[in-house]
Amino acid sequence: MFEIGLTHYLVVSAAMFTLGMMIIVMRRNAIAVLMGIEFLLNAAALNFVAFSRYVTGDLHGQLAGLFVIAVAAAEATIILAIILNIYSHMDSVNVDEADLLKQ
Amino acid sequence: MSESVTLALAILVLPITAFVVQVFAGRFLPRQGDFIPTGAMFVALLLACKLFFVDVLFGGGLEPSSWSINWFDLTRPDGAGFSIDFGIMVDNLTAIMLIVVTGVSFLVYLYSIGYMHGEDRYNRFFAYLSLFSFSMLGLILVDNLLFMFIFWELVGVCSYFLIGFYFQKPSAADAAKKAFLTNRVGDLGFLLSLMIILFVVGSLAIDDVFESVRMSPQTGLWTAGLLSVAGVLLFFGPVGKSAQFPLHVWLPDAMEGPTPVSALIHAATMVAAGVYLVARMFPFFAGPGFWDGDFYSGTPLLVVALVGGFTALFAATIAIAQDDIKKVLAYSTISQLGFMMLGIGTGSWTAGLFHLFTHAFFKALLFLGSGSVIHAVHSNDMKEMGGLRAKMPITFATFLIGTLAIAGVPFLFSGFYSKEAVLTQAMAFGLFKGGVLAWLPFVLGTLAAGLTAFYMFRIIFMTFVGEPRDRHRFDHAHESPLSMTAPLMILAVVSVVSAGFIGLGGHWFENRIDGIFEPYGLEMAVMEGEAASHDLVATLGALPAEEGAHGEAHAGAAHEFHGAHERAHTPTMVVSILVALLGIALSWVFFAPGGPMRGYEVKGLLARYRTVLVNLYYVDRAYSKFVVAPIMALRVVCALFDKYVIDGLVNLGGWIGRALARVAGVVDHQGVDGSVRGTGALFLMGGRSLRKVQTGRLPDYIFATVLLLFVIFVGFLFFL
Repeated sequence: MFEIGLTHYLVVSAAMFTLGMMIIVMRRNAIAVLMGIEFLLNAAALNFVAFSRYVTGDLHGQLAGLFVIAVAAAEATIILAIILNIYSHMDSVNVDEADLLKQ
Repeated sequence: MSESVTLALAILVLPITAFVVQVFAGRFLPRQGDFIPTGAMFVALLLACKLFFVDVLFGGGLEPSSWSINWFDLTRPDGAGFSIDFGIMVDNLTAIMLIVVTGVSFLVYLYSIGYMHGEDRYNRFFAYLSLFSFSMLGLILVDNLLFMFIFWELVGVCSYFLIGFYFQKPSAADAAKKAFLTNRVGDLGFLLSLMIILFVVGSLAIDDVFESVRMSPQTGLWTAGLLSVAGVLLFFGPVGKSAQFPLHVWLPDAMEGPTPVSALIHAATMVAAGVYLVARMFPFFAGPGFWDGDFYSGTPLLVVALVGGFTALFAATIAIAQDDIKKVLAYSTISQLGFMMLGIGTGSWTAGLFHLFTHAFFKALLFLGSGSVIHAVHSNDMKEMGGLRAKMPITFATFLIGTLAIAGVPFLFSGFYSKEAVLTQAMAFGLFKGGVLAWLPFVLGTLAAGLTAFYMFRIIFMTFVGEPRDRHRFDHAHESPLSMTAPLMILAVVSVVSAGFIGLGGHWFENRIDGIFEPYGLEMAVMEGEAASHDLVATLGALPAEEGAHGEAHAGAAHEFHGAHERAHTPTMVVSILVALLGIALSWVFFAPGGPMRGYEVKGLLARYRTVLVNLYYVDRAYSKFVVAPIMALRVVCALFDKYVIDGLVNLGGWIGRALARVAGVVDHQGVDGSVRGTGALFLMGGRSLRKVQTGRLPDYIFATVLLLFVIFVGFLFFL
């Protein structure tokens, strides 16, 4: 077999990022969109960690990864609160219907 | 400023002050302010009496004096141009005219208080009267032809106001217009003459004008032809104002005004203004020969004499056939004015002015008397009167005195003396010059004098004598109030005495008036025809010999004329008495109750002639046909011209403007507005299309963001 290196991490990260981006753009369900955003954040956190392990060798990247996870948790709660509000307001979590920004 | 000038100025200022007060405050005053003009005129009359009685009559005559202030000065430093002074001049003639105007004015004002009582615009009537008196006094007093013209026109406009006083009556309004327009025709000549004089002499002051005429044989300033033209043109003014043929048509119509106005303006004073002007400017009409004693050869004078004589006879015949009492008196006035012109034209301003003076009083008397009658019977038509003697004794007595005076009944009445003076002059003129043309004035005048007696007694017979023709009107007739009869009585007395004041002899007027041109260098000796040749040589010593001889010839002529005048005296007196008595007798025959030929005037040949007379010799009709109608036709032509040519041009202009405007409109609409609207539309469309991008849906925004990031990323990757 071959040894897993930085490149593999980056490929996985890029795949996750792309996947999350596609979910955000294509899915209508707000919960799914939230999940897509989680993908993006995790892809970014994975990059931090991978660069920390293979390039710099110190723990700054690890810390940034932890920080991203903390921020993502806080963000998720806020977004879920918004979604709940939208749901109570229009009986739906479909982001296509939530086009109040147009007005 | 001498005393007489001060008095004259005061007399001039009083009525205009009264006018101003009356016109602004009259209607707020008790009695509508009628006492203001009347009081002012009374004071003026007292002042004029001082001048007349104290200075002129018993003081042996006024020293001529004048006073002037510069009105405007148009002289350039090099001496060209002219300046106009407002000046007044007082001499015997002025004083006599002042007493006539103020006296008649005052009596007429007094009479108007009764006659106009309760009329509408009573206050304004007195204001007009006051303005009129002011204008007339100004006309008399000024020493400058320009101011004379101004006052002349003021008098005319007052006449217009007063004739049209009952302007709600169309006939009165028309009469006022007719009077005004007819006078304008004459005034045009007056104005042209003034232009000629100003052009030749460079001044309109009367003494400058006389001086230029006097010196014209030496200076050559006036050629004989130009002087004649200027003189005849100047006479146009009097022809209009004094209602001489052919501009006499306005005066009878002017009787539409209230009767006091007829008495004051259209009988006694204003119409005399023309006579006054001709007399005042006599040397101008006579030409340079005047100063040598030749008063008889000026062409304008012959025109004056012939026009006057013709008018006298012409108007007298018309007066016979009128049934309106005021119309008879109106034509009588025209006739008497012709008489005055006749006297002046045949070379005696004194005779003409004498008749003006006496006529003013008895004609005012007659008019006021007729007003009293009209007031009583409420009609102007003599056919509805008759027998009024019993009802109105004072009016009858005074009217009879006026009639006797105007008819020239001898010895007691003023009219006899003045008329005789005119006729004597006319006969002397005929004797002196010889020939048909020279005798014509005398013949016309004599016939007119006879006719005057004839038609005046016709009024007496038709109005006061005999049976009442209209019982109803007769029953309502009554004598007029004292404010109306008092002026009648005063005027009756004056009509008797005005020719010869006791203790002054019959020639007081001549003594005062003959010499009015002395200040202009006329020697009394020359006037009297007594200029011995040595006097004349002394006078003309500086002149070349032939000029002196020329002057001597004239002096000889003056002497000869004086002889003719002496010889004419007795025959004229006999003739004038005869024609007056004959006229009265004929009047009795035709019109008196029980007269042998009563009613004959409407039969046979007489009736045919009467028709002509009733139609006023068709003069008015001729004017309508040959003057008014062409003007009216011209009016139509002008209207058509205006409508089609002038309006056409205007419309064309309008049309072009409209076409241009339309083009401009299109440009504006399509171009300017289009660009503005296009800009707006562009942004609208841009906004509309861009709006679609703003879906409001988050996925779309995110997609767009990602796409952009991708593009930027690819761009960085490949191009940098």
